[in-house]
Amino acid sequence: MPSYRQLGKLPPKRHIQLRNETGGFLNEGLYYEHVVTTQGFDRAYSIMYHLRPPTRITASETAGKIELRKVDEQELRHHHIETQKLARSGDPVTGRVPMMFNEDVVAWRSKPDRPQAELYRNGAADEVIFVHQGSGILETVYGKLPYRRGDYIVVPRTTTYRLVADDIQKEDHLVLECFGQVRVPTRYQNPDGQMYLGVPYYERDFHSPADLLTIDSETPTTILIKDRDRLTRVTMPHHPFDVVGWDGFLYPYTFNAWDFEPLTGTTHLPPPFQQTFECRGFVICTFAPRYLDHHPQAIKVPYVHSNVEADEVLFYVDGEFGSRRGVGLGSMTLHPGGIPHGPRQSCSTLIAASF
Amino acid sequence: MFDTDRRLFLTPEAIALDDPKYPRSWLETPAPTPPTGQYSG
Repeated sequence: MPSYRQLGKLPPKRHIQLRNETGGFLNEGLYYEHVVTTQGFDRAYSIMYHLRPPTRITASETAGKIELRKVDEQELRHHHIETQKLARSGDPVTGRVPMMFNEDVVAWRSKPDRPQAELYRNGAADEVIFVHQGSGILETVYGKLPYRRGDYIVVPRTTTYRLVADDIQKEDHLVLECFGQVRVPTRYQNPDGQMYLGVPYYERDFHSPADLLTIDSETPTTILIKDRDRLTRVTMPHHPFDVVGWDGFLYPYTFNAWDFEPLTGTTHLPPPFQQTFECRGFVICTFAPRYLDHHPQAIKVPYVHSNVEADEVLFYVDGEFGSRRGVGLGSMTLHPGGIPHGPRQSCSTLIAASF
Repeated sequence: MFDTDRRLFLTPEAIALDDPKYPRSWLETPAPTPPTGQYSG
C-alpha cells in the first residue's frame, strides 16, 4: 500500500475502548473495532470502528456461480480482441464480461447500462478497476472515493462497495481480479516505507477516501459476495457502511494513469521502467506519454521481444497507436510467450495499461 | 519483474470479439507513419 492513512474517530491506542457517548448499539456505549488484516496478520492492515458489530448477519444464501470457460485454441498466435465493440449491458458488477484468465488474474470488461443493484464485496481477490471512460464515486465501507477517467481504482479484497457513476451510460472499465495482493513495487519504496526520489510516482499521487460515509440505519441490507466462482448473498440487519473512523495501510485508493511520470533514456527502456503495480504472478504497467529516445540513431519504438516466461496483454487507452492499424481505443491484444512480438514499424502509444 | 508458468486462457466471450486474421490483418495494411517528433504525446 502507498502509505499510512487515517480518517474519522480513533481511540489513542489500538484495541482499547472507543466510547460512543450517545449510547450506541444495545446501549453498550461503544464503537466496534474491526481489524482487517492481510497475509495472516503479517502484512498491511487497517482497523476500523463501526456503529454496530460487523458480524451481524441474519441470512446467507447462494446466489449462483460464475464459471469461466476456456476456449480450446487450435494454434498459438497473437490475438486482437476488439472489446470496444462489446455491447453495453448489466450493472458495474454483474455486467462484467470475462476476457481471459489464469490462476492469478481474471480480466473482465464492463460497459454497464444500469446502476449497481446492490452492495458488492469480493471476498477472495483484490480488484483493480481501470476507468477507461467515466467518473463518479466509489462508495465504500472506508468512505467515499471519487474516481475519474484514467484512474486505477484499487480495491482490497473484503471491501464492501457500490460504484455510483455520474452517468452510467458513459462508464467503461477494465477490471482485473487479482488473487494475490496488489502492491506498489517493493523496489519503489525505501527501507523507511517512503517512495524513493526518482520513481514514477509519489504518495501524493495516491488518493484514498477523504470523507466517511457513515449510515446509521437498522434497515436490512444485502451484500453480494464473490469468492472465486461462488456468489453468496448475505443480509445484515443494518447498513454495513457504519464506520466512524479507521486507520492503517489497507484501504481502497485511486492512482491516475496520467500521473505516471515516465522515465526515458537515449534508447528505448524496457517495461520494468513502466511498472505501476506488482501482483502475484503478473505486473501492471502504464505506457504513458513520454519524451522519445534521443540517441542520434535511436529507434523510437519498442524492440521486438519474446517474453519467454509470460504472456503480455495490452489495453489501448488513449492517443493514436502507430504500430498497428485497426487497433483502436478499447482494444486488447494478447501476445503469448513462445512467439516474439513487437511493433510493425512504429509505436506512439500514449497510454496502454498492460499486464 | 516477475515470471510465471501460468498461461492466459481466452474465454468464448473474448473470442467472439477477436479478429481471426490478426496479426496478418495489420501486416496486410499500409504501414503507419513512424513517430517523427521528440514527444510521444
